[in-house]
Amino acid sequence: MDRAEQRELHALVVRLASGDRGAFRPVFDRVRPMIERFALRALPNRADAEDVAQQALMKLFSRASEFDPDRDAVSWILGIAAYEVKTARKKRVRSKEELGASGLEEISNPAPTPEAQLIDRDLLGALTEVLGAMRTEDAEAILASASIIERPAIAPATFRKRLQRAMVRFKAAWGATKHGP
Amino acid sequence: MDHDRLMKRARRAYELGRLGRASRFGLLAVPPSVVSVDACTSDLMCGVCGSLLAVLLVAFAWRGETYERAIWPGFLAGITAFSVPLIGSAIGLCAPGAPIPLCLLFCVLGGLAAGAFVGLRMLDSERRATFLIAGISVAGLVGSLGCAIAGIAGVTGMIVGVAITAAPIWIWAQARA
Repeated sequence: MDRAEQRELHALVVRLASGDRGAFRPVFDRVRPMIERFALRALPNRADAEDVAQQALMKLFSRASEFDPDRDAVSWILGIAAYEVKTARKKRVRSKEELGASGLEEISNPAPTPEAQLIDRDLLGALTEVLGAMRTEDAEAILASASIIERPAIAPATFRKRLQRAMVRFKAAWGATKHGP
Repeated sequence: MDHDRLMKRARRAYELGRLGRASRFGLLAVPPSVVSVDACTSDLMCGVCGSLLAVLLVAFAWRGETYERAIWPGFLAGITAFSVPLIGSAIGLCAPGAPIPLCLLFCVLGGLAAGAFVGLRMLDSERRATFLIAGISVAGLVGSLGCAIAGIAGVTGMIVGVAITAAPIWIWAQARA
């Protein structure tokens, strides 16, 4: 998603928040693939990812009228999706713990251990927080490099430099979290 | 889930979300209604006006856009029309049993101020007719809660007052557009 498309999405979400029903379909058509891509990248199981994407969409539209126009729409949308991913992971950890308590812990499962999931969840929360606090341009460069959003329509060399600068700032911000050195 | 079905579910979630948020606006009707029931002689009239106001506030906030933007100006204008007869009542000029014309005058004055306020705020709106209708409806109902102290005559006087100032502003704005 390039800068112009992000601005367009922001304007549409602002219209939807103010009650303009005409903006509903364009927002839905843009947001659905974005959330689905995010969930598929964040969760190993495709069925779980689809469920989470649907739940995130429902939550997003039920909260659409509370959107603050001063916020970045993409960060807001991905923030809701990240929260739903976290919740889904928490549920999986809990159900796995329940299975373990009932004596089924011996069942072989290639999925990550509850500890690994907890660490992932924790890291995802910190990542969302750090990205949310960064400048939109920097957060975009990092998200685009992870193919979560589309690359901005700029020259590859410019993008590399922007990403390099974003990563330096990201490392500094990450260092300030409990996960830092 | 197919695209259309998911979109319908998302639309329902959106409308329910808006309704949930809009329902908080209904609470705005509570303080003037409580004061009105305490001050005026006809509980039925106050109850009807208060209920209508709550429904209207929720409906406008749910509908959004110009309707929602007209809520606060309408409510503030209405509070003016609501307060004038109550202040008159507090200083003994508009108490039950006092000369009705004086009480009526307070309602008309409050209505004039409310109409002018909504009319002037309408000038900043793109959809002026919608803003004026929504703003005056809210202002009229809030004002009616105060003017119920003077009965139907007070409410009518207040509505006439609103129309007297809002209409010329509307006509002037239309002539300039």
